[in-house]
Parts: sequence; C-alpha cells; structure tokens
Amino acid sequence: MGRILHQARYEQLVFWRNRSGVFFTFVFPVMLLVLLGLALGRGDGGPERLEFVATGVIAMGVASVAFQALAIAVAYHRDMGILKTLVATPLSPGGLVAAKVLSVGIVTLLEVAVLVVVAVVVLGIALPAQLPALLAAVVVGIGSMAALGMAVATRIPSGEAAPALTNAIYLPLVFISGVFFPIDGLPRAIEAVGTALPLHHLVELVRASYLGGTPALGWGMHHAILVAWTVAGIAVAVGGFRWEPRYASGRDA
Amino acid sequence: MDDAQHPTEAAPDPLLAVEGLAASRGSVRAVRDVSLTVEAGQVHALLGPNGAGKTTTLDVVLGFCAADAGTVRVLGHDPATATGRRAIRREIGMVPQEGGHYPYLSVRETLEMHRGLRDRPRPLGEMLELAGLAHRAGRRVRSLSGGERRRLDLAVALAGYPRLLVLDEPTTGFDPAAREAMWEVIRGLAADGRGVLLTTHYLEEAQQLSGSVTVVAAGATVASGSSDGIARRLGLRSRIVLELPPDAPRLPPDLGPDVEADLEVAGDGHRLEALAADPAPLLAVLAAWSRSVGHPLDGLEVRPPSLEDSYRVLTATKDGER
Repeated sequence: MGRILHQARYEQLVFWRNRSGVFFTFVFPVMLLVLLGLALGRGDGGPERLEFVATGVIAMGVASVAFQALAIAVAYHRDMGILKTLVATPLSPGGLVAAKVLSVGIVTLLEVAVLVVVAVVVLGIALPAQLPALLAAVVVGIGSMAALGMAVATRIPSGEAAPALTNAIYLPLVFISGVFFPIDGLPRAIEAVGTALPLHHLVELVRASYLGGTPALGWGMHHAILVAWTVAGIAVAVGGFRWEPRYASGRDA
Repeated sequence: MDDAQHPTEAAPDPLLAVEGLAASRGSVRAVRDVSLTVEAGQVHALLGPNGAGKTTTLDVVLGFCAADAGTVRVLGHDPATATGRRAIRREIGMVPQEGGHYPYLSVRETLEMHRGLRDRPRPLGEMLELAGLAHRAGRRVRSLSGGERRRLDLAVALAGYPRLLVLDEPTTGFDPAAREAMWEVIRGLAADGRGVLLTTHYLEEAQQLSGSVTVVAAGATVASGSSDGIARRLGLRSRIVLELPPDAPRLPPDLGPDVEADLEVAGDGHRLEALAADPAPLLAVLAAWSRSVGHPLDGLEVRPPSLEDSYRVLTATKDGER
C-alpha cells in the first residue's frame, strides 16, 4: 500500500504538469459548464434547464478525467516505455494500475468539487440536495469509468492514436447519455444504446442526488449497472493489457 | 580455465541460468534455443545481430514474455510465475533498450520516485554520482539529451542495490567518454559482486567488459565462453607481422619445421606475415633468429583473433543457414 500511495503522489505531479492534458480533461468541462450556463440562463426553461445541464456536465467531468484522461495517459506512457520501466520494479503491475486509478480518482473528485463550486457561485444553482448520495455516485462512477479507461487502453494501438480513439468513444457517449438533453427524445435504437452505457446511469445518479429525488431505476439498480460495467472493464483490461507498445510485442508481465 | 567448456557452468548458484530457452513474439518464434548463465561478480555479454533474439531473451528473464520451452531461473526464482516475478523485481535492475521516464518530472524526482519503490533504496546523491547526473538533478527529463536519458536509465536500475543487472544496449547514443565512464560503473558493479547481463552491438565493449559471452543468431546460441576460447574453437588464428628496416639482416625464407603457420616472407626478406593458431613457436624461432643476427624485433606485431573476428564468422555462418 505504501508503494501505491508513493507512486500515486508522482502520478499527481505528472498529471498537473501536463498543461495540455489538464486543459482538455480538467479545465474543458469547467469552461463548458460556464459557457452553457451563461447561454441557457437567458433561454427558455431557465433554471430547470440550467440545473439539468449542470448536473449532466458534472457527470461528464467524471468521465472526462477517469475515462478519457486515464486511457490517453496509459497509452502514451506505454508507448514511452514508462509502464515497462515501472512494472520492472517492486511496484507490482496491479500496484501501478492502482496508483494510476487512485491519482485519477483524486483529480476527478477535485474536478467535481470545482464544477459544483462553479455551478453554485457562477451559475447560481443551489447546493447539492443529497451530498452523501452525490459522493457515492461519483466514487462508483470513477470506478466504472477508470475500469473502462483501462479496458479501452488495451485496444489503443499507440499513444498518437489515443486522443482520437478515446474522443471517438467519449463524445458520442456524452451525447447519447443524457448529459445535455433527455435521451427519450433520441431515436429508439440510440436511446437503447445510451441507456445501456454507464455514463447514462452516472448522469441519473448525479442528477437525482444533486437536485433531490430518486433516479429512474432506483439508486440500487443504477449503482449495480455501474458496478457491472466496472467488472466488465476490469475483465477486459486484465485479459488484454500490454505493458509495452504493440510494435515491441511484449506479453503481459 | 577450459575454454571448451562454458566458463560459468561449474559455479554454484548462478544469479541467472537460462537453459534451452524457446520463446515467441506473437506468432513468430524469436528464440529457439538459447542457454547462458551469469554469476555474481561477472559481466556476461549476450551478442547477436538485430532480430537474433537478445531482447526477447531478456524479456523472458524479466518476466515480460513467456517461455515456450526451456528453463529460466533468475536469482533462484521462476519469472513465469507471479510470485517469481515479484521476488525477482525486488532484486533486479533493468536498463531496457528504450527506457521510459515521465518527461514532466525532474531527474531528482524520477530517482526519488524509483527510490520509494525499493526495499533498500540507494542514497540519491550516490545514484546521481554513479550516473554522472549530479549537474542535471533539477532538469526535467524531457530536456535531457539522449545520452543523459540513458544515464538516467542506469541510475534508475541502480536504485535498489540490485544483485543482477540486465542492461539492453546501455551505451547506445553515448560519446566515447561517456561510454568509458559507463564501463567503469559496470566494472565497479561487477567488482562489488553484482552480476551483469549485457547486450550490445559494440563488440569492443563486450570484449572490454565481459569475461564471458554468448553469441546468438537466428534465435539460437551459436557460441559461448571466453572470447579467446571461442576464437580457438572456431580455429581463428593470430596474425603475426614483422617489419624490419632496410638495413636489417634478411629473414631466412624457411623458418624451420617447428613453425605451424601460414607464413610469407616478402619485401626482400624484410617483411614477414603469418597466421598461426598458436603464435608461440613462431615467436620463439623469431627470437632465436634475432639473437643469432644481433638485431632486435622492434617491428613485431602480434594480434590475437578479436571477438569481432569470431562474431563475424559465427553470425555469417548462421545467416547463411537461414
């Protein structure tokens, strides 16, 4: 455990010093929330529409860091030989993954905190109605998104391809998961896909816990679906993870 | 030492023992039959052309690649098992062919990070001194030169007093001075009782550092032992050249029946060139001649077969088979 915490500390340093990475995965959701807030504040639907979008963007922020940033970082670090160098130390492969997920979890919690502060202070939205439930949703959301990030990283052929491939998954996921608008307005097939994916359930949990009320399928079911995605993500990641770039053809350590 | 025999076979408990290793990269059989041992205090060079299976062999040793056949014991552990890998990685240092470090961390932070992962970390100052990076401690990794990054690789490998070091082309990209400095570090580690397995394309480096070498080609060991022993087994001969000044007495055209060498006396009896498996008889005859005519052998040069000579023969033969 000591090695994991030690490594997570350096993973934090690495994340915050990569300014372009910080901008696209941490700052961008905040900017988006402010811009959407300013735009929607004057439109039809007023406060309700603003609350809907703000809670969606908070869930999106979790995916941005825990899924997108993690998958890109793992692919880049693998290409650069960093994963192999670290795995060859007494830090076990599982320890390295745990350190990365822990670091991403810390950044994600910070991201959510910043988004809530912006929502309250800048956009004038009320404080979360059910803070423990919001926290639980975010923690479970981090787990599922990080597991999927690691799973996707197994399929990314190179660091260069990582931003494009993760965006190709992340952006459609955002649009069909109910972040910006209710998904029941989407065509049936797309709605079915969106409902099956984890971000939709995270959005439901975050929205219900923040605004008060109960999510559509109930707390337990949404959490269970996220946990199921976490297990699936871990299974794919463990089964196909590579510590070396594909051209080096290394087997799992 | 009997050079016909592998020089490390007789020693008990080698740090690394690879026997009959076969391993694949995807669907390609990269290693077919590689054997080698590394003992404490020994630098062992693993040589071979690109694609010969060197890095795959190292990856099996480090537990990054599974063996298809053969046995591998690293510090008494099996790298194919999770328990074995855990034990090995506590006591091994690795310089991979393409080492990787976080570009946004400084040299000091990188070394501190690796020190924190070790059971018994080496003091930071010692790591910086060993790698010659004390003056770069505050620099970000991304701003280091290629040679400096390679030195950082070495410093990281030394973070935990490893009993066995696996160095995959550690001096690639070094200038001659940096290379010699690295050699000194490697010699020092061996003198301190560490075992070193080294791959390199610089045959002079292998000859300078290694008491024993294994040459692989097309995935299989083609020779193993000391540099001199390999040359003898291949029948490679020493080259003897004697250049006499014009005013010196002439060499006789026939130096006698005891000399077993391909020998040519030219230049009006003032130049001798010979190839001999054992140069001693010829040198004895030349010394006797020198005494009898009262002229020194100032222009005498004896060049034993180099590791490079052996390597060329071994790898050319193997390439021809492919």
